[in-house]
Amino acid sequence: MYRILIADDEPLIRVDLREMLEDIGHTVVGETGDGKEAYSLIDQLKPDIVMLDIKMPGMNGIELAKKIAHRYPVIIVTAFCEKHLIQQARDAGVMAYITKPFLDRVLSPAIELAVSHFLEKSSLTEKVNHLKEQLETRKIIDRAKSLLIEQEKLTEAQAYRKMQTISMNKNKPLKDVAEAIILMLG
Amino acid sequence: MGVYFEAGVGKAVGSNSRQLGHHAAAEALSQLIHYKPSLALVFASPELDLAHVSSGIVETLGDCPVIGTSTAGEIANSPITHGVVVTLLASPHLRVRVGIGEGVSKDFRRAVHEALADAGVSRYFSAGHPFHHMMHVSTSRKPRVSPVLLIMFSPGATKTHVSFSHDIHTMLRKASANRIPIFGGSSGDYFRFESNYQIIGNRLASDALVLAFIESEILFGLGMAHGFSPTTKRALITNASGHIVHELDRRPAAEVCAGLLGIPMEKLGHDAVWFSQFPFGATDLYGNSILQVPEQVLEDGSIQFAPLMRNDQVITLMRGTRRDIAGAGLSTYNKAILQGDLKRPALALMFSCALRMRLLGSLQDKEVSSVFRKARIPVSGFYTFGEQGISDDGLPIYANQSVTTLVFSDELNPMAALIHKSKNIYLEFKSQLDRKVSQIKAINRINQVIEEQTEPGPLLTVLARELITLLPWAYSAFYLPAWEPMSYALAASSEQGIFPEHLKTEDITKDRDSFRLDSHGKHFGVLILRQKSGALPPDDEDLVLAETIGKLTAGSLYRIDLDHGLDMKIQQFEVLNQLGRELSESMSADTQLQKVIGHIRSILGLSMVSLWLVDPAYPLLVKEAVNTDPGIKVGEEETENDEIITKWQRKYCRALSVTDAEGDQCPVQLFIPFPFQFTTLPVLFKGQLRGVLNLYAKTYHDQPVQPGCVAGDIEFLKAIATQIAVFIGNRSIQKDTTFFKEIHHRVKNNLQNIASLLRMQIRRLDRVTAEQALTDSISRIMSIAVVHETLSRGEIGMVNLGQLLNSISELSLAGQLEKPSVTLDISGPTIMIPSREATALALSINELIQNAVQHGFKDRTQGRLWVSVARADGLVSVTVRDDGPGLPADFDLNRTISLGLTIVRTLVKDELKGEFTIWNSGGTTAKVAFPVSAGDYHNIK
Repeated sequence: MYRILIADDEPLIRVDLREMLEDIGHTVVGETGDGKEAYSLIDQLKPDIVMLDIKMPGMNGIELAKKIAHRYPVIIVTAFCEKHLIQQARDAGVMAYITKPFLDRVLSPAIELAVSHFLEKSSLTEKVNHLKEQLETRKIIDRAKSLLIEQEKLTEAQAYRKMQTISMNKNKPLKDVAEAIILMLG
Repeated sequence: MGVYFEAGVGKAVGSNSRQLGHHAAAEALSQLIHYKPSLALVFASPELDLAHVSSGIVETLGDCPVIGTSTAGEIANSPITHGVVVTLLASPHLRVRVGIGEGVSKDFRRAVHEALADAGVSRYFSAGHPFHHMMHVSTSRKPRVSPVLLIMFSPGATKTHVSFSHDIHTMLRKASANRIPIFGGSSGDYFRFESNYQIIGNRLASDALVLAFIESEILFGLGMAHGFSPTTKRALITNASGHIVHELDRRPAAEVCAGLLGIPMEKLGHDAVWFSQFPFGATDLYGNSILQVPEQVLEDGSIQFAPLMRNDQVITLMRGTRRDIAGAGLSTYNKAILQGDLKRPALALMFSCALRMRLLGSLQDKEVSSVFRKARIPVSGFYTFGEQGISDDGLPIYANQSVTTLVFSDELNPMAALIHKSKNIYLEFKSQLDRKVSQIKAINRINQVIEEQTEPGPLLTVLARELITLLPWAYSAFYLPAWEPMSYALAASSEQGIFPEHLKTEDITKDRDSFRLDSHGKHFGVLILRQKSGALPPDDEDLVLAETIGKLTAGSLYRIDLDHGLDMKIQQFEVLNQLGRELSESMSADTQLQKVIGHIRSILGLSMVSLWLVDPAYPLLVKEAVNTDPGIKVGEEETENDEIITKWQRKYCRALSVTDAEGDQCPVQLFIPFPFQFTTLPVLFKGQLRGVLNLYAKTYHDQPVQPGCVAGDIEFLKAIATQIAVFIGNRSIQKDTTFFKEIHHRVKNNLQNIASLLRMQIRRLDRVTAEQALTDSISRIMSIAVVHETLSRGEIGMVNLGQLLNSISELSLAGQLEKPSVTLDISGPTIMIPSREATALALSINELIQNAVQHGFKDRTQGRLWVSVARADGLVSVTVRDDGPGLPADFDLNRTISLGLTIVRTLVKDELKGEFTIWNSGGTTAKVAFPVSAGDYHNIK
C-alpha cells in the first residue's frame, strides 16, 4: 500500500495514527511533531502521502502544504475546522481534510481519494503542459513559416516542405529548425 | 491786534537825524505783532538831514518799501514839529509798489510817467485799461470800495516854483478815469517856502513825485473836508491862465477880491497865510465847494491861486468859525468810515493843510486829537502844501486848505473776503480730504494687516502703530483680558510709557474714549484712547473712526480666535486619529497602553498622566500605566494624590477639571503642597467604569494659572478617554474570543487524545482484563479533565503544578480496582506550568502512580508513595517514588510493552522534550524532568 509520513505535535495522537495506518496496511515511514523537520523528512523519505496537523511548532501545516502539495498528496488532520483554514488548505492544494476527533474508518477513503485526486490532477497538469508545449511549437513553426514565405517568396507548402527537409537532413526536431529560422530571418 | 491788518506809528523828535529815523521806525515796528510791514510812510521835518533820516529808517526796516515827504509839521496822534513820524502798514493782503519821478518842475508829465513806470503800474493809468471801458459801458455807481489806492507825495509850492501838484493830480485822475482813489499831499517846509523833499527808500529827492500804488484786499475809506461854508459873495472868473486869475467879473482880480471882502485894496493881504482866513470855493460837478486859496497878489492886480484856475468858473467867498474848521478833522474821519463802510478801523492817515495849522492856532491840536480820541486808533500824517483825496461823491479831487483822511480797517473788502472765505473753505476741505485720504490709506493698511496677521500680539502692535497717524489726537492702547478675573493686560500701545501694564475692569471708564472689542457676542479686550495734551478734542467723526477701528480689530481677533480654535480642533483630531491608530494597530500588546499614555502626555505637554484600570478578576483599580515629564520630580505626595483622585473618580464617575488643586474650589481633598492643575476622567465602556485617566500639569507660583491648560477642551480629553475605553473593551473581547477558541481547540484535541488512548488500549486488550483497561482509560480521561479543571480563566493556560499533582494523585489512587492503603506524600515548591505541558504531565504522573500502585503495591495492603516536585537549572522535575519491591530484573524501559510506560515515554520525550528515568531505589523511583523557559513560569509568594 502506501508509504506515509505523519507530522503532528500531539505524540499520543501520532502513536495512535501510526497504529491505525499500520492496521490498515500502510507503512509510516516517518513521524515528527515539528513542521520544519517534516519538510526535510519529506525530501529524504519521499513518501506516497503526507499527513499534516495544522498547529505545529517550526512551520504550520498549511504553509508546509503550500510547499509540497504539487509533489505529494497532502492530507490535513487537525482539530481546527474554521472556514478560513479550510479555504487556505484548499488553496494550498491539500487533497483531503480530516477534523479531530476522527474515527479510524475515515482514514482509508480519505487516503484513497487523496491519492487518486492527486494522480488525476498530476496527469491533467501534465496534459496541460504537453498541450501548452505543442501550442508553443506550433506558434514557432507558424512564425518561421511566415518568415520564409515573406522573405524567400515561397508558398506555404513550399515553406513547410523546406523546414521538413532541413529537419530530416539535420536530424533535428521541427521546433528547433523553426527557432533557428526565426533567429536567422527574424 | 489786527487780524488782517496791522499798523505801527513811531515818532522821534531830536537832532540826530539817523537816530531819529531809526528810533521812529523801530517804535513803529515794535507795534506789529503778526505781519511784516508792507509799506512805510515817512513824514519828516525839513529841518532835519533827511538823507540820514531815510537811511536810518531803511536800515531798521530792511526791504520794506518806503516813501516819505518833508512836512510843514508832522502828525503822530497829535501835531508835532521837528520830528520824524514813521507809519507802517502791515498786512499780507496789501500789495505795494513804489516809484519815483523826478524833475517835476521841468516836465511834470514826464515825471508822472517815470514814477508810474518805476512802480510798474503804468497800465492802470493808460487808455487801454479796463477802467476806461467800464466808464463808457457802465453808468452804474462806481464801486464803493476800490481794490487799488494811490498814495503820493509831490512837491509843494516854493518862493520860486509854483506847485504842479494839481496838474499831476489832474493828469493821474484823468488817466485812471477817476477810478483810482488818490490820497496825497504836497511836500512843504516850515513856511519858508524854500525847499521840500521826497523820500523813496533811502533815497532823498527834491522836485520829485513819489508814489505808492497799493492793491488792497484790506477795506479802507477816504474822506475830505475843510469846515468852511459858502457866503453869498461870489465872482466869475473872466480871465485866468494857469494858476493866475487876472480878472474877476471883468475887473482886476485883486480889486474884486477886496470888494468881496469889503476891505480897501491896501488892506488886502499878499500871501496864502493871510488869504487862508478868507478862502474862496469853487463848486464841482456835484455842487461841492472846493477851496481855492490865493497864494499871492501880484503887482498887476492879478491873484495867483494854489490850484489851476479856469475861466467861467464862479468862485465863492467862504467863511467859517475856527471851531467849524477844526471840526473838519473828525468830519473827514467819519466820512471815511461811511465811505468805506468800515467796521474795524485800524489806522487813520490824516493830511491837513499847513494853512489850516496857522489858521487854527490853539485849536490845531483838536483837529487831530478829536479823531484819535474818538477812534482810539493811531492817527498819523503831516501838514501839507496841497491835499488830495476823495470828494463826498467819490471823485478824486485836489484841494487846498482842506484835510484829507484815509482810514484802513482791519477787515477784508467783500470781494477779498469772499475769495478768502472760499480759499479757506477750499483749504479746510483739502485738509479734510487729505486727512480722509490718509485715513482711508491707513484703514487699507489696517485691513491688510488684519488679513495677514494670525496672532493677536503682532496684529495689535501693527494696529497701534497705524493709530498714531489715524487718530493723531490721541494715544491709543489695546488691552486684552488678563488671567486674573476682571482685569486686563496691555497688549500694544501707540506710545511707550503712557499706559499702565494692567487695568482693572473698574479702571476702565465708561466714557467715550474707551471702546470694547466685541464681536459675535464674544469679548476680546478694550481699545483705550487718551487725548494728547494740546490736541484739539475729537469730533464725532474721529470717534466714529475710532469705533470703526475697534470693531475691525474685534472682528479680526474673532477670526484669529476662530482660526486658532479650528487649528486646535484639527490638531486634536489628528491626535485622536493617531491615538486610535496606535491603539488599534497592536491590540494584544499590553505595553501599548504605556506607550499611548506617554504619547498623550508629550502631545499635550503635560507633567504627568496616569491610567488606572479595573482588574476584572477583582473589582479593584490597578495602576496600568503612568508617564511623567522627566523634568518633574514625582514624590510620594504626587503618587498618593493620584490615588486619592482615582478613588474620587471611582466614586463619582464624572469628568472633573481643577485649575488650582490647592484652592478651595477643589472638590477632592488632597495632600498639599500639590502645585498642579488636573483633569480626571472616567474610562467608560458600555456605561461601565473600566478605568480612570488622570492628567496633570504643574503650575508655578510666578506664572498665572492658565485656565484649561489641562482641560484644554474637556470634550477632547473625553474623546481620548473613550478611545482608551474602546481599546480596553476590544482587548478584553479579544482575550475572551482567543480563550474560547483555544479551549475549543484543546477540547477537540483532547477528545482526539482520548480516542487515541482508547484505541491504543483496544489494541492491547489481550494483555489486561477489560475491567482494568476501562479503569485505566477512565483514569486517563479524568487526568485530562483535571487539567481543564485547574485552568484559571484569568491566566490562560497556566496551571499550578502542586494543585495538579494533588488532584491527579487523588484521582489515580481512587481509580484503583484494588485499593491498598497508600500513604501519599506530596512535597515541593509551588510552580506554575503551561497547561499544554500540564496535560502531558498529568497523564504521565497518572500512569506513574497507577504503575506504582499496580506493580509496587501488588499483593500489599498498604504502602507509601512520595510525589515531589523540584525546580533547578530551568528544569522542572517530578519524582514519584514508592516503597514497593522495585523493578523486575529484566526491566527495559525501551522495550516495555506496558501501555502506561509507553504513554509516559512518548509524552515526556515528544511533548515535554524532557527525560524520563526509572530506577530501583529500594522501591521504584520514576522521574520526569523537563525544561520550562523562564518566561513560562513564575513563583507566587
